[in-house]
Amino acid sequence: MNRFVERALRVSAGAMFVYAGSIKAIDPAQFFTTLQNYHLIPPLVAAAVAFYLPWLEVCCGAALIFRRFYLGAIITAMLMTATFMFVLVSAQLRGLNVACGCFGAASPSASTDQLIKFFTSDLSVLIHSILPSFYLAA
Amino acid sequence: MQGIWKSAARQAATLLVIALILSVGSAFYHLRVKSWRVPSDNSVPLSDVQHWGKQVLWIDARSETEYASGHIPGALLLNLDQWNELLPSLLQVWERDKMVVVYCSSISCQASREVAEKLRDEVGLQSVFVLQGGWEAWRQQHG
Repeated sequence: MNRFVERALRVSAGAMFVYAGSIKAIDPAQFFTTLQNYHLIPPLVAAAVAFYLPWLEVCCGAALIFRRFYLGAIITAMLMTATFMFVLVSAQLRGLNVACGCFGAASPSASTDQLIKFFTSDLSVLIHSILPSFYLAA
Repeated sequence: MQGIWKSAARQAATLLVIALILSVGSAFYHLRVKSWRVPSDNSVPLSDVQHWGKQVLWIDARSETEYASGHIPGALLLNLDQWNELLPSLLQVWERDKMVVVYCSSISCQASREVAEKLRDEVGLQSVFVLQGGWEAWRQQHG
C-alpha cells in the first residue's frame, strides 16, 4: 500500500513539474514577461531564470517519475516550491495583480489563476512533505 | 545520515548541471530562431497614444468597481468577468479606423493583455494595443 501511495505521489508530482516546466520552456519570452511583472529581479537575471528554471523543473519532474537522483530531485523540487510560494506571497502582499506564471500563459482568467496558485502551492507542499518520509522509510 | 545528505547534494548538483546544459541549448535556439525582443502584446507608451488624437478608443479592462472609482475620459468598460455582457457596447461604437487601446491598473497587471488578445483573436479587431503602465501611468500624467 505504502509503495503504491509513494508511486502515485511521486509520479503525480513529477508529471506536474514536467508539465509546468515544458510549457514555460516552449515560450521563455512569455515567462520572462511574467517574471518581470513580479518586480523582484533585474531584467538580465529574469532572462537567465526564464531560460533555466523551466528546464530545472523538467529535469526534477523526470527524475521523480523515473526515480533517478531521487533524493536530490526531492530536495531541489522542495526548494523550488518554497521559492515559488515566497514569490507568490510577496506579490500578494505588494498588491500586484500578476498572472501566476506557474503554467506559462495557459491560465487566462484571474479566477482560474487564483485557483491554480492555491492548487499548485498546496498540492506541492503536501506531496513534497510526504515524499521524503517515504524515501527515508524505504 | 551524513552520507545521505552528501549523496542528495551530489544528485541535486547533477540535476542542476543537466538543466543548465538544456537551458543553454534552449537559449541558443530561442535567441537565434525566434523573436525575443519584439513584444507580442503590441504595448504602447502613453506619449505615443496621445499623438493618435481622436482616433483612439479606450478600453478599461479593470473591474467595475475600479472603473467606477475613476477611468480615462471616454473609456469603455470591458473585462473578462463581464465579457459577454459588455462586448456589445464596444461593438456599437467601434469603427474600422479606430485604434483600440486597452489598459488596466499598472505595469504589473495582466488584464489588459488578456482583453487585447481576446479582441484580436476572438472578435477579429486589428488595431488593438495595450497601454504601458496602465491607469497608473495616465493618473501620474493627468494628476
